Amino acid sequence: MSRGHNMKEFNFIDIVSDPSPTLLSTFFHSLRNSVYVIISVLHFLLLPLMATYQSIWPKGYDRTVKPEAEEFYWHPGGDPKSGVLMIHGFGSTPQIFREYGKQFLEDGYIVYGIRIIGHGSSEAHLADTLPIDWYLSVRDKYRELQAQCEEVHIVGHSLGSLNALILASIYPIKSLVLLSCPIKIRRTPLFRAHFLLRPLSVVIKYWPVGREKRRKLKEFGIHQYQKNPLKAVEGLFEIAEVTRERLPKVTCPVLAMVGDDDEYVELSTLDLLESNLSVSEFSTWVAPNAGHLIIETSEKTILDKKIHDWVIDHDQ
Amino acid sequence: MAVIHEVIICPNCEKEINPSEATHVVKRGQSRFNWWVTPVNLFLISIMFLLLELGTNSGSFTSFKWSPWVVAGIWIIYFGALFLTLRIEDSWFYASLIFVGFCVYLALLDLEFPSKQPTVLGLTWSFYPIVIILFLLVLLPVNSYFGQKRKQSVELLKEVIKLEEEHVKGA
Repeated sequence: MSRGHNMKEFNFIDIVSDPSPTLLSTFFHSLRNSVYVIISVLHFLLLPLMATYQSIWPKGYDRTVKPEAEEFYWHPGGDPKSGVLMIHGFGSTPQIFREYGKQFLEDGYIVYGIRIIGHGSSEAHLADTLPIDWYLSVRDKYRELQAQCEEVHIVGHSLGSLNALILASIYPIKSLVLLSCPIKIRRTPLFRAHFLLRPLSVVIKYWPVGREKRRKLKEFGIHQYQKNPLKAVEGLFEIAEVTRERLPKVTCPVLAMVGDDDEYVELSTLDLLESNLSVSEFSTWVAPNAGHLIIETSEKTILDKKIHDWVIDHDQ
Repeated sequence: MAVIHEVIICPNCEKEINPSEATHVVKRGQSRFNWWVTPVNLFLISIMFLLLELGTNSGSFTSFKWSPWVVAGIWIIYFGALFLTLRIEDSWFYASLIFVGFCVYLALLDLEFPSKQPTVLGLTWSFYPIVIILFLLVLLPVNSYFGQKRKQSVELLKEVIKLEEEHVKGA
């Protein structure tokens, strides 16, 4: 039955019953009962109205993380010395690194495939996040991993690689692997006018991901948003700007890889990184037949080996 | 071959969950109603108003006067609210736009049902609510939105990184 029948629900002050009722106590009792009845009736009348009201009033967007976008934290057992932090790209999820994570786990590393805030839930959630939110969510998870092991290597793709560079400019990271690092974004007409994206997002909120890219993502089994929130795309440019300023402070060994047909990142990114980083060791590789989703390269075995060997070699 | 013992932490409740659980999602912000509940409710209310006027017109379908305006108002409010549910973060703009639309509705209503005392622009009674709505629900919110003391997103990020760097160096 409806909650309206439960009189105890209304938290009124109880009037202490007098063993010999006076006129005053009888009056209060009857008054209290009348109030109960009125409220119960109102409750019945208001419930359907409230239901209608709740159904039309603005509701929050969905922040629930989809099961296929969950993070993975794998511990090999014992007391491992090193860990690998894996940071996915814009609009993507940790799944992209699952296979690499298994390899590192077999080699005895703690593996943490993290999810950047706003990802894996809903496009509206991503649209409501800022670069600072992305960075802080990555930073917090880095600290969690750092508490478990002495040394941390980072593998980052796209937005993840930008966050990895910022982290490396502050914290003592053991080595970095940057995949499709968008530090120098292609000057397409849309990207030239990127400063308009945020005001434009008031009218056009999302821009759909191309059919070809969706097909590729499906082929690789990667859960990614089907449309990009323009407001968040502008955030990508902002974090790239901040990262460029931080490059001279990065001192750990860096391996940077870009696809030769990357639709967003210019190949000259590699030169920019080389000339600005203060690293002891810098290595590059251009993946053949690969777009921004670098794992689609025809030389995936080489890509996998390079990522794997780079971390192993710099863990000595 | 290493055996993976997967520890899955629920990103919503932050507790360790059993990997065999198909899903462990906490539903937040989910509607308790099917999408069609409200339009059907409003449709029924609209029919109710039309029927009420039909009764006063002795069943004549050609001489509706006030009920179409009520029905139009209900649906304007519904679509406005529905649109805002989709664009909460831009509501400063869209809510203002909807109120401008509501002012137009009031003006049209006034032209159809004028009172005896004229004001300006050919309006009568609607002039007063229109002025109040335009000032309190359109101009004030837009002015407040643009007048917010907010740091740019880039500045915020730079500031946090700088503070963090100082903290790490200090440690």
